[in-house]
Amino acid sequence: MTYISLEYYILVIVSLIVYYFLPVGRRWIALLTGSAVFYCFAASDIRQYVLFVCTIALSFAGALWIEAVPEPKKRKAVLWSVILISAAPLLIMKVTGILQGHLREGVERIPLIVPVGLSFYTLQIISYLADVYRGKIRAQRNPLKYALFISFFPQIVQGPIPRYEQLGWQLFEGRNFNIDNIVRGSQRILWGFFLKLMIADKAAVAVNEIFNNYRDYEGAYVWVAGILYSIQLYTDFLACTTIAQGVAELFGIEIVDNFRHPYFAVSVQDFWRRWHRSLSEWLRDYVYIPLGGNRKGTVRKYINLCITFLVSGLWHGEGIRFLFWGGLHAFYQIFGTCTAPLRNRVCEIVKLSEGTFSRRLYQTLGTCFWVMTAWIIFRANSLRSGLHMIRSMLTVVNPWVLLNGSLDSIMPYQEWVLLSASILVLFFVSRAQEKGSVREWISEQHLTVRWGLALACIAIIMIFGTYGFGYDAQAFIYGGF
Amino acid sequence: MKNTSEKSALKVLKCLIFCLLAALMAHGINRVLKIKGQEYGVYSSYAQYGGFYEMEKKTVDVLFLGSSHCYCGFSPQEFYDRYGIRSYNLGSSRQSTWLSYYWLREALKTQAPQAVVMDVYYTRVSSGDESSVQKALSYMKWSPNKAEAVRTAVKEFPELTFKSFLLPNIRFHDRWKELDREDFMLSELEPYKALKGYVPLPDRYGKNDFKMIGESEEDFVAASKAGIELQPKTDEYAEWPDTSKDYMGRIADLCKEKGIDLILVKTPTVRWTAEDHNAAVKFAEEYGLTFYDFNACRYYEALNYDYAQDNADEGHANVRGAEKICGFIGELLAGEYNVEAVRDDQWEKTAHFMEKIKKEFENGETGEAAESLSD
Repeated sequence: MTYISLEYYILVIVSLIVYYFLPVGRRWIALLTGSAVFYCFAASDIRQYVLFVCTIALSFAGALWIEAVPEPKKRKAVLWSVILISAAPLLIMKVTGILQGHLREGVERIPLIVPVGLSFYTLQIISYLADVYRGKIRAQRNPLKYALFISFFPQIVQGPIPRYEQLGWQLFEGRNFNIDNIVRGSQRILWGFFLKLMIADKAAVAVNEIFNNYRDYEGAYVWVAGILYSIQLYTDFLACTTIAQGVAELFGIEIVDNFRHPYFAVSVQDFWRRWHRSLSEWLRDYVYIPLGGNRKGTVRKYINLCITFLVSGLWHGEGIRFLFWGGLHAFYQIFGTCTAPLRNRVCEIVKLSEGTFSRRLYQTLGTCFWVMTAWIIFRANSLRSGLHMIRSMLTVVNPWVLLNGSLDSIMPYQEWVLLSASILVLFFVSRAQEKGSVREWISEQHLTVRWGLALACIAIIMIFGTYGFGYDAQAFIYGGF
Repeated sequence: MKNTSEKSALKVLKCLIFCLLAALMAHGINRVLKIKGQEYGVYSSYAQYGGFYEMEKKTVDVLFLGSSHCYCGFSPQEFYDRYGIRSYNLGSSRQSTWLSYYWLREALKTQAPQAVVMDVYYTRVSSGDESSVQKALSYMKWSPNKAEAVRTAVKEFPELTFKSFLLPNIRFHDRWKELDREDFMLSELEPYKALKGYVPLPDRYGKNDFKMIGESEEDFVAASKAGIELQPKTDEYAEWPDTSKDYMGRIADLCKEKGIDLILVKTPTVRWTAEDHNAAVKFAEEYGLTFYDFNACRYYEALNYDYAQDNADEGHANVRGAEKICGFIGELLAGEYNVEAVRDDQWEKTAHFMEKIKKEFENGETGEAAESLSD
């Protein structure tokens, strides 16, 4: 069951009906049941379910234990023990993945039980335990309510990674029925479908072809693949978050924004303030700051930055190329900080004043280039192939393939036109969102305009979307992390 | 307070109206996107099955089932014009036996035929291809019968899903690149309903590579004397797939239960072997049915068939071939099976279409039959 499947929306509608029919104080039970059913369908193996439930039970008891221990040293020991046990499945998966990644083909690999959403709920549990330890929140006394917080179905598979103080109370306090929530939630879901089926999955056709046959495609093709993969990954993840937000909104629950137009960033540092914000904030609060952050001098700051980004790389995947990708982002930031005075001086000489459109444009294009280069490593089938592609991108000159119809062999030209048009829509919507709320603007329009927009969106997705027979539906990319 | 609840009620009402509009739009889009089942220039699926549902209840006395060999070989208008027999052709492209079975069940909901004529060409495979399933089932009305047919389709073709039949855009939305005038102007396909499932082919095969099947020693002696080469004699028979055996049995049982005469036939085709013939004979004997194989010497000669001139290609009868096959089967239905002639406006009013098609064929015009209909 995926977030764009018919079955998922049947579950959502049934849960919604039950939710609003139950007394306000009992409405969380509908969410818990929905989450349990969702996980049943999402998990391919009963052992995944058992492991998931055991982790919830253990971390629930662990949090109560942390709270009950008065002695600070012992408390810390309990915290670390519970974190280590709760995170053990994720750690085992990562370490085994790295070790097995070096095995030759044909050598039997150890089959692992990987529960759905493991990477996301493990971080959620760690932040919960750490917050209980720090006294920021009180441990939840009701195991079922705690289970709901960890397993809330709209976001269990791909996040965002919620904080207990932000999400918990919204889940447990029943919300009153408000038709505006239904309308606004549905709008978000529709936009999520547009992002997924009109951009992410369409781009995936070209991206998969070029990355999987990278030796046949050089130069301009790699540029196309790199740009499209950057857009695919963003829209795919944004679609999932948007759909999660939309479904939660149907229940009157607000889930935090996970993105703030990352490709408008003016530096790599800015990019990480806009990309997968719930993860970035988690890494900041539970890795970077506890390591000392920027409080212990420049060298320690850079070391902490490297560790944080290596953890981020490891979280994203098991291969060595993910560590490389994380390290590359740390390097970008350190290099960016070190060279900032020099770059500012150059800008002064060429009269690129701070705050001007031209300066921002160059900064944004530069950031996008560095981020895209790192995404190529991230998406490539191996570190070696990723480096090969980057070299080809920078050394092979063949721009004519963009103009002479060669791209049609990858995807029919009509699909290229649709994809380009959809990306333009995303660009203009993002620009508008930077200035204000697009949803507010829509809500101020006349009924015919609002309905016309929604119906047009449904029709476009229905007819032109990349889905159904003949297509391999792309699983949401971040669900694999 | 009242004002607030009234506002909420109004919003709920608006939402419901929007949902209704969206559903209507989705229905319209699906109508456009859905395959129209064009075969040889004739929109068979849309017109054929849509037209069948428009027939008055209990007016169809004979049904034809089978693959493209069936819809090219049996013209309901020909049967009516010559024998007054009211019939309808439910054959479809590569129609496997299970599809024939579900269409028979569907037909029996509204019609009470005296005879069912079934071309057995597609007993040889379990299923045709996926598009043949779509052509046969896309225009069947939803009922438990269709649900069962769809479940069988999903079993036969794992890439299909039940919901893709409920929401055809899942299967057909990629057709947007090939949409044509007819997809939008469905009214232009209405005239094809006059053919009642028949697809007239105007071409002439020209080659004479057809070999008859000898059923007895006399056939081989006679052929040898006349210098005609028959298919090699064999007692072997082709093994039908389990699905074919199962559904052919179900068709036979259903006809028996309803008191319908089931007549098995095979129109002339170079692709039909002596082994295929023997398998069909074996089945017919097992169920006490009659099998008229027009590939066998006795029936081919009885038709006075000229393969090069009466077939449009290797497998399908053309307009003249169909006329000959209909003549033979018509005599049989009127004589042996006592199907009575009945005057009926549903066939009366469409006679001119067939006349036009025949005239064009005689004049050697090889334009698509579809064009002659839409004029």
